[in-house]
Amino acid sequence: MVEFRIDRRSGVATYLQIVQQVKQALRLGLLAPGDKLPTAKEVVAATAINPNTVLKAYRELDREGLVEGRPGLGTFVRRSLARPGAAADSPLRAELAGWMDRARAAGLDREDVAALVASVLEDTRFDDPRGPWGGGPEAGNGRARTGNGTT
Amino acid sequence: MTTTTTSSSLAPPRDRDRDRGRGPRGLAWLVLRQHRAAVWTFGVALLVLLSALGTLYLSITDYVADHGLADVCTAGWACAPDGTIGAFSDELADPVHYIGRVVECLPVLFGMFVAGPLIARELHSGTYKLAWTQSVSPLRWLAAKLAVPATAVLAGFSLLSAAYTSVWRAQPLPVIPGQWWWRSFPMIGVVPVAHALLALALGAVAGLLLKRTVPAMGAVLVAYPVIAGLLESLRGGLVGPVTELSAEMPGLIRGSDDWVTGRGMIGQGGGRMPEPDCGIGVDPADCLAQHHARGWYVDYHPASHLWPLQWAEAGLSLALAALLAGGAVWLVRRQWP
Amino acid sequence: MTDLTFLPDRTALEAAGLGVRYRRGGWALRACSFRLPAGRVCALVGPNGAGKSTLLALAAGLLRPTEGRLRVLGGEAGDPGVRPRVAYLGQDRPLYPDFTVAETLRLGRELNPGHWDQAAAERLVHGGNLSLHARVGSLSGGQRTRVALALAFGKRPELLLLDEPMSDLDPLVRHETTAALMAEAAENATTVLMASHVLAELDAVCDYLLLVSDGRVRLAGEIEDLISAHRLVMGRYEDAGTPREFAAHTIVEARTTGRQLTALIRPDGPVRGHWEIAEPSLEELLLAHLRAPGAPALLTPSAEPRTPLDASPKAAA
Repeated sequence: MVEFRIDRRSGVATYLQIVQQVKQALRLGLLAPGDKLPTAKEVVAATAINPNTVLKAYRELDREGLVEGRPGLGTFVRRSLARPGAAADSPLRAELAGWMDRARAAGLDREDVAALVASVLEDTRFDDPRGPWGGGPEAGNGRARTGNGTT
Repeated sequence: MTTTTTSSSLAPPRDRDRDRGRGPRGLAWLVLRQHRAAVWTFGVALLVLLSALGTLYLSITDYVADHGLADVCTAGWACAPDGTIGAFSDELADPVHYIGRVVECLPVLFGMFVAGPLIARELHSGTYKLAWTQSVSPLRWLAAKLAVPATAVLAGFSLLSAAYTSVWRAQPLPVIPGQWWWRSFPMIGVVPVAHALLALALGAVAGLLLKRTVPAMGAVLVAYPVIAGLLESLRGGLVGPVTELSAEMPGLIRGSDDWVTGRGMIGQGGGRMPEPDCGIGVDPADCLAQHHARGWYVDYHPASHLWPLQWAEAGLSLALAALLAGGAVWLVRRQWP
Repeated sequence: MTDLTFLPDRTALEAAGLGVRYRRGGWALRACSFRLPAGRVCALVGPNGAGKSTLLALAAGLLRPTEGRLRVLGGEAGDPGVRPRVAYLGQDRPLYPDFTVAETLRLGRELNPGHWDQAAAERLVHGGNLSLHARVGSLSGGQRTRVALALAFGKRPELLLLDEPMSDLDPLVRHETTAALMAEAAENATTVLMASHVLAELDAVCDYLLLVSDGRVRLAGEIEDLISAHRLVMGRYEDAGTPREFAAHTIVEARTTGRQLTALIRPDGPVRGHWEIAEPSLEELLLAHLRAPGAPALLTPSAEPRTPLDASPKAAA
């Protein structure tokens, strides 16, 4: 089970925060295939957000093939995002830790490091076509319309 | 009537039948609970008055039997030794009369209660919204506000009125002219109950119009006596009186238990001259001649008219009550959905 | 389970040419036309005296419109068939002060035979650490609100009308109450119409918006769609008036501070010129419309009334 943490001041749409947190849990192995996601009622009872937001996030995850809704039962994880390379004891992590030490030795502070990492991330092409924020506001709008039409 | 006590851990949500079978339900429960203090006051007052009337009844019948008043007293005041009647008046007839005054005054109190605490206070404080948003339409709300006190009046006040009428009747009436049937008229029979219903409807209209407790109660306190006075002025004409014509001047008081509503002379052409003034000490025949009249008339209601008059006035009061209740419904429909 | 709670084809509220006149002249609401689809959690926003409470009271069947009509759940507002399906929390939280909490809940049970949920009502009361035997008159403002909310929830309404529901609740109770409200909406697809001044209270809770000011509907529709229909345009601009390239768009509000121009527009096609363009936040959208009372109203397609009165003027631009 995951627990969502909604930050109302982050500027990130609430449903995206849920999508990201589920993905994060999938990456870290907190959620594994077959696990049940909390129901919309459980989520809103804990976070006091609009239930449609939760359902929209679950739809998004469903669309990406990460979860599936089984009518009357709930929403279940279909596949994991955990990769060997991202685990806590992976060689990649050790390398990154070593790089951090060198950066600190070179006099960079926390914000310098963050800016550097962000700029390298920006210049690197990943295979995800949608970018880190899952599309712009127009895409969000389009999804709302689909939601309207299908119920 | 299934009042099963299921284990509460199984969360029985729809236990609406839990209290079935004891006490009133729905809106009636609400109105009675809201005015619990008034209900108790009314109930206790009713019991006190009823037991007082019961005691008086027994005392009166004993006194009448002990002093042989039932047999002798047909001819009026002079029928029994003065002391006997004086004592009866002071100890029994006066208390009966005071309770009669209470019976006569209760309707206006009922009306004030409906106008103020029952309706205006809710409209003023906004608590009416509570019922209206809990599935009760304004008209149903008004109906309950009228039906609950009306039922209480029909049950409790009818009982009081009936008890009072029996006590009144048990008295040797010829010796207490203050309680002739037409003097005690608004305290006996069905009229007090009809008046009470009229006052309730008046109270509803006042409450709905003024929407503030004290002004609404004040309005009933002013308006009800006006209506009661109007009814009293109409009373003699509700049933046609008996008219008696004579060549001789009729006694100033006809039979002792007749209610004289008019008297005077009949002119040559048959026209009436009510209460002609002939001056003091003038011979009746001269008086006739002075006014060119040919005889005397007197209009009166004999004692047998008591019940026809009672029903007529009760009917008129109920018609007025219905009119006012209709007005109250109109006021609700005009202002609220 | 992944179905959204709202039912776009079913209508919770529909106003056509709705107007309410105060007894002493002046209009509390005028020519209001909008639609609220069922299953939405809608924020009713506007300045004091904008007509929010009037609109809620109309929907609750406490007021009669002077003109136009308001349909609620398919019937007329206040119809005997509609009343049991609508719950209302008034701003003044009217309750009988000499009733105990238990008696107040019994009131709900007595007046809603057949559709009263005692467990739901008691849950809200117990959550507030309230004794069932306490007199309502001895409760604090927040506790009274809880009891009033319990009455509203116990009805299991299809439409829940809340006038400033959280105004006197402390932050913890506010969170709990909002959570309970959202759980209710999730479980029963309850439509919620909630008037509030506190924007933070509405963000993440509401998915629909109704903005009223001066008795008129200014904005109505899905919050996402309303936001994405607007752009916040910023840039250097030193001439008088508004830039010529804005002529193609609807300008809600344009302000110049020194050399900087900030405008909220409804773009019709791409915005020309060297401007920094951003999507407004809900707060920016609302504030711009409140500062610019002359801006035309905007209703998204789902907020357009489906069955308008022929005679009534439409509020839509």
